[in-house]
Amino acid sequence: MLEKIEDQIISKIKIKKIKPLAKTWFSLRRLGVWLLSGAFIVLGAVSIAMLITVLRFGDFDIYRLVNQNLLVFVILVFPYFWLLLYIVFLSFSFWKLRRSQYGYRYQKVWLWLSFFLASLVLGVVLEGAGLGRSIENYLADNFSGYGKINYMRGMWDNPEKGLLSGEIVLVSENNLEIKDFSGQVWQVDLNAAQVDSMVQLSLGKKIKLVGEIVAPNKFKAREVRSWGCGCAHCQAATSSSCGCGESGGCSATSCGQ
Amino acid sequence: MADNLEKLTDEELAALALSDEAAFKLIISRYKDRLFYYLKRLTLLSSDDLDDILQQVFIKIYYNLNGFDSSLKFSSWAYRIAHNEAMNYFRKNKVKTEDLDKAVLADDLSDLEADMDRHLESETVKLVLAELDHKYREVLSLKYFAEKNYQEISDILAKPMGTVATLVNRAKKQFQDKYKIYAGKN
Repeated sequence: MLEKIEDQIISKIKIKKIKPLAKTWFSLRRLGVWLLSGAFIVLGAVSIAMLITVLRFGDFDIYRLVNQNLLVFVILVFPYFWLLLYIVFLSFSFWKLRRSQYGYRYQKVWLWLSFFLASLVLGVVLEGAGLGRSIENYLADNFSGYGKINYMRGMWDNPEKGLLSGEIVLVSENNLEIKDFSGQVWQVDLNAAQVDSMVQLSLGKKIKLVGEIVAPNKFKAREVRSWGCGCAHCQAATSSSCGCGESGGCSATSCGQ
Repeated sequence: MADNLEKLTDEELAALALSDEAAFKLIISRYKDRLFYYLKRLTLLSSDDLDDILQQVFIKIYYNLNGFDSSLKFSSWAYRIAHNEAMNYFRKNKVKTEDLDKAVLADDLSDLEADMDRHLESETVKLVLAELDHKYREVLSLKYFAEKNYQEISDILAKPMGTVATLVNRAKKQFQDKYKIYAGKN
């Protein structure tokens, strides 16, 4: 039954001209697994940076306009999307490494713990470097549906509750017109409004308003806030540290948007 | 020359087999029976079908020789390739392990168990083994027939040692439960 199997196999190898795969192929494959796993950890760290950014620069001070209960407000605005993405990326990284040649040798708990710590530390560093703010501002500026996955943004499309946001389409002395994200144009009265130093009131800029509807399509603003979070372009967290609006600091045109 | 090769370890032969046909032939002759019976217990296939799988296993061993890492025992690496090939066979042929013909296993074990101790030779043991879930049959087969330790089984199945220990314990438990039922009947 098995007497001639050696010869059968050798002749098959010769007929099919089978050659052993090169050593470098195996080395590259192992390297690829580690790189891919590492890339997923970096993506997880970016998600952590986003999560921290949303929480750090969130408009928690106006929670009463959305919900009387701060806890309910936090539950509403918590960046679940980034948390979910973080879990997905970390799981991919874990799965990739565990499925590698010797992945089964690593203890699950230690693997999870080291991935968690690595992504957390890197995430904090990336957030501190301003990456979270840059991405957050980019998404908010370029994707109209971003408010749906980040309610901290989405809640600003709530004029009945005194929260309005949109793009400036007309500017006059104490008034302006903005087009909200559903395309509706609002006349905004700025007479009693406190304008944040990071805000630039010029055409095409996006702003957030706290106030109240006084007539159909007319909004009286109490406060004008920058649409961007932090001072993304000069990588500073606040207007004071950024120097927005101050001479010598980062210029007003590059801040707040 | 052949005598010199005989003295070499599997790992040394594997390094030599890249350029020496005789060395690879010797690897085949050292492993053909062991892997044949391992595959037989695992797949419950007939000998003819097994020959094809076994040839495929050795071709894969040759094809992947450069990927053999000396931190692993060669035998564990070879068994792992055989295990993977058996799993590929199941997938390709959409075989559910529950559908496997248990009678085939009981018959085939007769050949293998000839040299085993008397305890393993009993008809009841054969029938009980054939009744076990495929994953339990595999770990028991590796532990008690192929006489592999936990580390080796872990390397073969690419599962953590803790998982292997759990599998072995559950397999023993399932074996004992079924054994009692069979023993009670007779």
